[in-house]
Amino acid sequence: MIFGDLLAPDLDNSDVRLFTSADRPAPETDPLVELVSAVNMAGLDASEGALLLHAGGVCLPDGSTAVLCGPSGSGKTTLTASLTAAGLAYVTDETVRMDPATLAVTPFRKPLSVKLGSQRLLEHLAPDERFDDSPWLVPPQSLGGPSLPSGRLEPRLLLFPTYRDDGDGALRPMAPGLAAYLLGKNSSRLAQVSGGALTCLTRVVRRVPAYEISYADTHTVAELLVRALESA
Amino acid sequence: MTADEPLRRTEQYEVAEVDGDLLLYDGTTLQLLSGPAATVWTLVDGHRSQNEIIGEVSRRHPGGEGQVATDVAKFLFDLEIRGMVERVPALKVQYSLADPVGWTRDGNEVLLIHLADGRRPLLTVTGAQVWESVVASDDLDSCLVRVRAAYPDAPDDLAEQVVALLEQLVDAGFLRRTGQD
Repeated sequence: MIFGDLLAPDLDNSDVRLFTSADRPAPETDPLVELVSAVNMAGLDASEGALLLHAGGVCLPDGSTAVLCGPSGSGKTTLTASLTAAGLAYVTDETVRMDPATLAVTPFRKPLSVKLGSQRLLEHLAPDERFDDSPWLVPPQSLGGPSLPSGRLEPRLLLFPTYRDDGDGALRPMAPGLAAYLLGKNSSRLAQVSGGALTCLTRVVRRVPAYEISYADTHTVAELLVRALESA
Repeated sequence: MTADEPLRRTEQYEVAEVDGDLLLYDGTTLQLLSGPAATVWTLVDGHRSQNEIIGEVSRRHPGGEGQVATDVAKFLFDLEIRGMVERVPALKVQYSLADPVGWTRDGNEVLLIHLADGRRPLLTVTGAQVWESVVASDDLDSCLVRVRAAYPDAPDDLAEQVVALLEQLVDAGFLRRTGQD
């Protein structure tokens, strides 16, 4: 057997087919994904000293911003898209950049990256050209939400979402210590935050209330969050 | 780790308190200690031993003392394995010959000579035994073992009497004491 080739039995025909690397079809990936990834990295590089959270963000016209924080697969993008469709402005679906002193949020309106696990929930955002192995890249203007307000974006609500088929959709307050811990765990370059990582994390959770939610229905959650953000 | 040795935190963690929870960060790893775990971390102060910490945690979080003891011991063990907690090296009490002092055995007695001022006290039988034990020992504990071996029927307060004699010799300038009680 030659390394690099794939020897695969075809069970239907009871014979053996030899695929060489030259025969293998080109991977079905969207070349734009790499470009967007490179832009994301450049954005991180340009944010030295800021708190960089793996989070989605949406805001009200007055700049009150909800930060949807969590690891990949927690439903950030799905929820961000739903909240934007519900009338909130899109801030980002990837990285919330927060000033460590003022906590002001810098928008990062990259194309939404709708990963395979979320695509069935956001079928209406499917692009015309699909690549089997790639997330969908959805332009922010396709979401239908309002424009960003011109003023400063202030975090008013921290949300740690989990998508579950049996999620009850209830908004539950989270202890500030746990919120600070989860923010830190879902951040990039934490050691480089100006003024110290712990100082910044504790400042965030002392100023901004944190909630967790386990949800199955994005529309119900969107209504709930809009109300919570408006009253925050 | 023995249960009676004082424990202390190692230095690499920055700590922040948030509503009773503790965030620990060493520049790479972030950790959260809540409830009794935060209490234990606070009690690791360089003075308290594991047993003392268990007693204090049991007092602050009453109910299920046996389980508290097990959980706290396991937690402290985990902290030590992770290099977050360490034992405080014990400082043993040591007595050594002061300078300038000479001595010699004379029959059942020991004659001390202070070479600076010429004082020459004489230690009789028991005192001579204590003297020879202390100069032959690395620390007080070893000295007491030697004296106890020489006087197996001695009263229970033998150690106190030996220490009292050694302290007199320190005050008189014939011995030097290091370490702490």
